Amino acid sequence: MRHDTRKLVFLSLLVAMGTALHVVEGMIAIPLPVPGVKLGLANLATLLALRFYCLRDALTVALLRVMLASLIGGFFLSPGFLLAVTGAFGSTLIMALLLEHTRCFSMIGISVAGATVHNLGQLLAASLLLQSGAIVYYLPVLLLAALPTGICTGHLLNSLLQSNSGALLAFAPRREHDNLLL
Amino acid sequence: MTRGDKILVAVILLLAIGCAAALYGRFLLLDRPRATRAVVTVRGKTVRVIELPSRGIFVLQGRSGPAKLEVAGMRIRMREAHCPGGICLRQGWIRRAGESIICVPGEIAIHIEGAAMLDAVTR
Repeated sequence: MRHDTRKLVFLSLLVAMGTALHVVEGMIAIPLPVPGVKLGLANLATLLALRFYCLRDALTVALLRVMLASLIGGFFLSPGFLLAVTGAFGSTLIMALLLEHTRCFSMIGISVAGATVHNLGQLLAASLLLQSGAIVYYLPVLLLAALPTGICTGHLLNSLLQSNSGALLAFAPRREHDNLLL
Repeated sequence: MTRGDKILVAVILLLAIGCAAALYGRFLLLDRPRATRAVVTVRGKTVRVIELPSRGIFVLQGRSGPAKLEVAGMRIRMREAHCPGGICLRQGWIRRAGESIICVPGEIAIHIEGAAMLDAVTR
């Protein structure tokens, strides 16, 4: 039971952290000539959930984070919300895949892959939503943008995991002790 | 960063550049108007319109004597002229729409015109 409580608290903290990052991130305009590029710091929460728990928990954290952030930002169930959900789900899935089944990537690579798939998913959702393929011209921009943002987020996570002193990590279970992994 | 990370980043970078080239390259080429004809004006009057591509040497009676205009495919140059400065000769070949050779002493002007360009496309 104690374990479940820890997990509940940890995941809730991640949802809160992700929501806060998501909302704050939306307010910071990155000085680029193209709209829609952001750092993806909210992905940190998903990655941490993936790192310490399983795919299902990470998906829950991602979905709750997007829902809460959209409620705060006022775009719940809007087209933008749909894009955010698609992106978050796609990136969580690919990151889980890489984390579980490969050994050659550090958090940086996983974060870059997540950012790329996040952007691709959003593009796909947007083109379905707009019923137009013209948005494909945005693809190179999004691919290119995924690199620095993914590297930044991954680097942050790498140092967060190595520091061992973060308040968040005090709640995290050791992965070896975690038998809930799917 | 591990090796895997670097390879992944490189692959995505190449993919992005490839996509950019494939998607935007077409526009860069399309935006350049194609040269379709050359208009030759002597002393203010259009004396000849040469549809491009074409080939041959045309003799023009300019103010400073006869001048020879050479057309080779899409390129045009002043081959021979008797004007004092010879600026038109030194200009060499022109080939793009919008370019021109102008010989002031001879009062000869050659201007390459292009296909109608689009200002913008709306959808």
